[in-house]
Amino acid sequence: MSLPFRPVILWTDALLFVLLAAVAVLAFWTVRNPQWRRPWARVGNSPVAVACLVVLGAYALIAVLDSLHYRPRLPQAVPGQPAQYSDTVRSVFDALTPDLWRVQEETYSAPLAEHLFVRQPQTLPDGQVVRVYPRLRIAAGSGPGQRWRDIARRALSGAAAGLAVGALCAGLLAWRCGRLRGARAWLTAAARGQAGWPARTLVATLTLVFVLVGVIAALAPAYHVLGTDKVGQDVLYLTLKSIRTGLLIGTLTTLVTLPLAILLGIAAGYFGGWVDDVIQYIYTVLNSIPAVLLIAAAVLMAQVYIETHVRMFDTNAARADFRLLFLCLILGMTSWTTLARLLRGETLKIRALEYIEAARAFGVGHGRILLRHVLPNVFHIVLISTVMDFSGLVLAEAVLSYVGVGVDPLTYSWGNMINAARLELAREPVVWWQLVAAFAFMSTLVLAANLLADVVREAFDPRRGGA
Amino acid sequence: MAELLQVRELEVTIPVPGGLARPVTGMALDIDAGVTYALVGESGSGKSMTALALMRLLPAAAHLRAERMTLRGEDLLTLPEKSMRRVRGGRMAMIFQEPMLALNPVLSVERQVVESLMLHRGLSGAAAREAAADLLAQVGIADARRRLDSYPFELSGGMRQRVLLAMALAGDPALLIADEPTTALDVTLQDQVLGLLRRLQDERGMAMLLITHDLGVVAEQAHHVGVMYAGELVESAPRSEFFAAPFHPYSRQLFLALPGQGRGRLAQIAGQLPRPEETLPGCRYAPRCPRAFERCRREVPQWQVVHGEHRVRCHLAQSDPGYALALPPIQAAAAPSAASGTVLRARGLKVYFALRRGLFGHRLLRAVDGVDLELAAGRTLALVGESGCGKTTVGRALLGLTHPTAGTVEVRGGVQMVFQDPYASLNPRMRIAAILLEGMEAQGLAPRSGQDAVVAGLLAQVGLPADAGERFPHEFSGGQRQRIAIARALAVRPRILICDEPTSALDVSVQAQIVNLLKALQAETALAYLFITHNLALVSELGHEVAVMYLGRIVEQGPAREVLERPRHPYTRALLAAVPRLDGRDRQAAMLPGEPPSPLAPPTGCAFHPRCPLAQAACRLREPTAVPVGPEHWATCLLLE
Amino acid sequence: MMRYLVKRLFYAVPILLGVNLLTFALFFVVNTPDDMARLQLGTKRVTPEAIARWKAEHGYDEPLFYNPKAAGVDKITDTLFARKSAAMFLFDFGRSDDGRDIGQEIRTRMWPSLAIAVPVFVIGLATNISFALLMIFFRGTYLDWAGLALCILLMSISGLFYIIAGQFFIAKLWHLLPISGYSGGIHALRFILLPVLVSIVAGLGSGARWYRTLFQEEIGKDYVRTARAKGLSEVRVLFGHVLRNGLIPILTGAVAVLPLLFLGSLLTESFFGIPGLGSYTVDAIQAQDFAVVRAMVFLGSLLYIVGLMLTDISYALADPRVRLG
Repeated sequence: MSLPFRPVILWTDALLFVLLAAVAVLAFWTVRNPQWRRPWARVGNSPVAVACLVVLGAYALIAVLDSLHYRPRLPQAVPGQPAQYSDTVRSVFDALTPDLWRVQEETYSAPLAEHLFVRQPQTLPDGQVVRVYPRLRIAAGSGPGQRWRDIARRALSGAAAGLAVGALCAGLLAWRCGRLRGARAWLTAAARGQAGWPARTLVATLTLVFVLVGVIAALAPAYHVLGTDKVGQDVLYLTLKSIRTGLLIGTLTTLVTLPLAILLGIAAGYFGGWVDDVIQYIYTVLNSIPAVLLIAAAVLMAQVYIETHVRMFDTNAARADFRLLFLCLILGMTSWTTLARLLRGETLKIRALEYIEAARAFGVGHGRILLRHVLPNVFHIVLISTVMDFSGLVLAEAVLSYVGVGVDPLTYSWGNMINAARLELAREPVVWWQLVAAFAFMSTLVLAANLLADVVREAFDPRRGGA
Repeated sequence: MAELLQVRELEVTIPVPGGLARPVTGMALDIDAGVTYALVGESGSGKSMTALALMRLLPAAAHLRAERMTLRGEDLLTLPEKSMRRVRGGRMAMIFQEPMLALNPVLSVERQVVESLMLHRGLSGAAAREAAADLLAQVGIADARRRLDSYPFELSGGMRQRVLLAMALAGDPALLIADEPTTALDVTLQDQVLGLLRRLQDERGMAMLLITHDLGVVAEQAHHVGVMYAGELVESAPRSEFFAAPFHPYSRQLFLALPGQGRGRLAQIAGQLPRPEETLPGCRYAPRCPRAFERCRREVPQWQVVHGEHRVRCHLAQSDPGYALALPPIQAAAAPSAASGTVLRARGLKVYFALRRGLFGHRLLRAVDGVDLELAAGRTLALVGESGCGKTTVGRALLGLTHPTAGTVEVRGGVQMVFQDPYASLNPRMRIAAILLEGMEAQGLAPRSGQDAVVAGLLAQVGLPADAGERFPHEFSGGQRQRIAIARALAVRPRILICDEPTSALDVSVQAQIVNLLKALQAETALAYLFITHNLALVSELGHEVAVMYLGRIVEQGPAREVLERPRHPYTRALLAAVPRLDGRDRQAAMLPGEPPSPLAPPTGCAFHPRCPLAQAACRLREPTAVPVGPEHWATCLLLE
Repeated sequence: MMRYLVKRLFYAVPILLGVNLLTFALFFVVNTPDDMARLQLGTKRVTPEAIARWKAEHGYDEPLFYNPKAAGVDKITDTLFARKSAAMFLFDFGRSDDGRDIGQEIRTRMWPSLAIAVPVFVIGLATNISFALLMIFFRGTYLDWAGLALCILLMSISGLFYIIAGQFFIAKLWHLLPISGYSGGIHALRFILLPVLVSIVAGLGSGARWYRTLFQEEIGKDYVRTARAKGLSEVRVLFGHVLRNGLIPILTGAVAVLPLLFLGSLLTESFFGIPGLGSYTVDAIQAQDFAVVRAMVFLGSLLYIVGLMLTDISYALADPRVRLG
């Protein structure tokens, strides 16, 4: 008996789950400690933050589903032989969205089109060759001429399903939260924005997401909602797959370098003297190299390394994954210095505070002082800087891919999409949908992250009565 | 009667989550030309907010309402903003509490003073510079012309307060609002600035609204006194009547909480201020008032005349007008407990700091320069001096937080410290129980089980409820935090407690609680205190012995009463003379000139000679040695040798 | 002042040495010159002879740090480290893979870079400061809120978008300006206008928002209250007091990047076909020309250190509290 699939855990998958575990631990800790609960409650009370969290949550869900990788079992040629597994690595996300990738076209097609965007030679029955716009493979099932009516019908039914799920959510919330006043009273209050927390925003944003998902799910079996790219892949699929890359770069980068930044930053500030001098020297050296050049140099070297050690990687996915991880590492190398410097400055301030003096007067050791007194009091800086760095890193991926030192060309990423599409702008008529899709999805993510970062900073800033 | 400033029913409201805060409500003021009106109150009483309201400089969220607010008959409420700007800094000027922060750091003194002159006198160019130099000279800045080119960071705190004053005077104001003008200054500088304010007021016939928490300053400066509590004016009286017989229970509690009066145990005010958004049906002081009765909780008291211009907002004025004719009499101090066994001895203690200068060079800062101290169990040694004299460094060196450059420290039993700032001395991220247990854990004293009982015991010892252990520091007021800090120190059962200005950040009534607590603890456990302070009143309240420090050295030491009543060193005398006195008697006019020199370049000979009124040629050359001047009382002054 | 400069130069040497060692390690130790040769020659049919020939042609046929075959001082100098890395201290950058002198290339290419970077820097700074001041002046109102929202929106959009949209709409659709290219002299203006415009818009969001925060911090300080108590109008408080203090971190921060303007902008230059150092770098990275990349890394850190020095000096000039020593 063998499984119909063989799980594959890529390095970045593993790290992503480590990150999720860390977030879970942090959440548990936060719930138990009123010191941390207060600023988070302030974040939760901001409608902007709630809307952003819903959007980010949708992105994160896709990224997590897309990080559960496996290799499907190949159909057995001879029964009784050990099972063979495909070289193609798929994810749970792929399994859930077969409509987006099963049907591949010849080349470009516009969003919701019926025909290819480019004329192709076709041999007529009489042997004559003509150049026509062939009908899309995906549209094979639907009758010609009915397109707009069909789209409207599908979109409406999808939207209706989305609305229904949204209403269900509102009902569930009312049932949970309305125990005191009664569900109906709670609903009316929430609709007026008087629930005591931004329940209205939560339901509205969730419903919006559900409606979008509903419409797409209804259209996807018969149309390429955002068109297809040069080799005929569905652009919506490409963009959705890019989410994982963007999120990984935004989060893993910080995760892998956080220990370094915290350790060195706090040590420099707390111990001073030669420790400070050495740490400052290290980060001045790293800082003095323009970031793009340092990344370029490191990635070029990694590329040479990969190409000379091809045998280390058994699949293309593993290879691309190594490069993604390496990119995160090197991006982190260039960005930890900022956080370390901030922490050093804050630690210098805290070191002079009287509660540290009191601890020293008791003879408390350095390790304990750092762990119990310094770290908890600089932690809000770590959090704020992690949240604020995220969007910058997502944007950096696109630029680096353009320069040629980003993720592997085989990895789905917005940078690769933009890079592939920008040359096609010279075409007449213009192929615009790839660019628009990539920019729209990327900007939504970054905007949500930036807005959330603003709220988080405000809530945790001690000068504004935070933490 | 033509009053300069008339205010009726002034109210400031600020919307806050969950209601409307009223930091000032029902405020009334009448100030005549040439008069100093002192507005007294503890923090949170709304006195600074009143001043900002008069200037119409309230924060944007605040809303100002009043029945009447006129300056020389001109309605300040309806004045358009443009005309109000001419009033501000013109007829009505203001100086602030923190002279270190109130000046623009990157503009020269000249630019900042000339700016006011241009606005209100239309001066510019050389004439403005001339007028600015003139103003600086008027506020007692020596070498005024050269000082015009200085930047604020080059000036000392006292000097900056003078510059601020010069700026305020530029518009020739009819009313000067001074918001705690000397709180951030040392006592000798406070004396100088208060003297200057009196002189300027006499010369110019200027009215002054003096905002302060210090009754001594009031007694010295004011013609009329107003007491504020929780946003309301509760008592208003001419100075002499107020000091002879304050009426409002709150005013009386303030008096009885003052240390150093010899009235026995200091009065404590129970409870805390009502929150500004809290509305009470009756008197706002009723929940804390020892004399409150049923009517107080039900009905807001209206103004009652006690006598002439002495008015009060208290129901007692009707029900029991004779209750408060005079304050309790002064008692003879209890005989000090006998000394028993030395627990701390420091000999020739020196602490020098090397300040890096340039790549290789450095200069020595002699923070402590040869200090001998001895402390016996159950006794308190008060270490007195102005800021920068090295008294805190002595404490840190005794505790081992700073490594002494030379000298020996012998300690019998543990030493612990209570710090100055109750907000910085507790880790905001730790629960109180963890804070209290930390020292015991570090020293291996923590019990394996029953830690809760230990914590509860410590909390009870300092008068806090047992459930405080589960809470975090931000849930406590300044006074409560200081109690927690004391409990933390007590946890490791030290025999010596170094108290570094433990009450200087607290209000008088809260200070009284801490002082009483320290006294009680000493009586119970024979703790020895090294009490570091700049407040001479606390010395007479707590100290058995006193040591006076100047520029890293002790200049006089002896039994507290002996030193305070018969000071021998000129510095001790000047220090004592500079303290404002409650009875408002004329003090000797011996104002100490100048400011302490930098410990980076101490003067030759006797370090005090540049400021000493009695200095002779020899003082510049020879260092004085300790001369016995009484039983266990000595001073280092050449004139005594 | 002189003493300070000498001291700073003294500090700069170990940092540059660190950069040098780091890049050397990256380029020669992690991957050997053999790996590089294999990469350049293509993976198929690489004979050891071909590799040796490639290494000899490009001067990579020496040991890393110590050459036992050479005599005397040459044991140290006839090494890759001395030839390829340490030589950069003498501004000897060597040759690129296509045989051109990198130093010469840098000298000619820095002018087009400056032609773009300087106007972007000056106009951008002025725009950001004005925008931030405007928001501060209307602080607490809807205008401030809208301005802030605009800033966050602008900074959430990729820089690539501004370039592509600018090229597409202004150049391709409306034919207002050329899509890309460069020429010397007065004609350069036509070519630099679009890249400058695009770069300023791309930087507006984060710049103005950051400056607004700085001004907001200043405006809460005590001296501002003193200035108001003098009777100064809000505009004069803003320009006479707040701006003066707020500008100190802004200008000194700007001075820090001044030297880096020489390097130009990677994206703008390569998209708009400007023959500057930015596009030079991008081309080198894409062609995997390690000699050029190494030279640019060294140049970049040198300019960064110059920037640090300029920052300190400008601090001392702008802020009376700071003295160099």
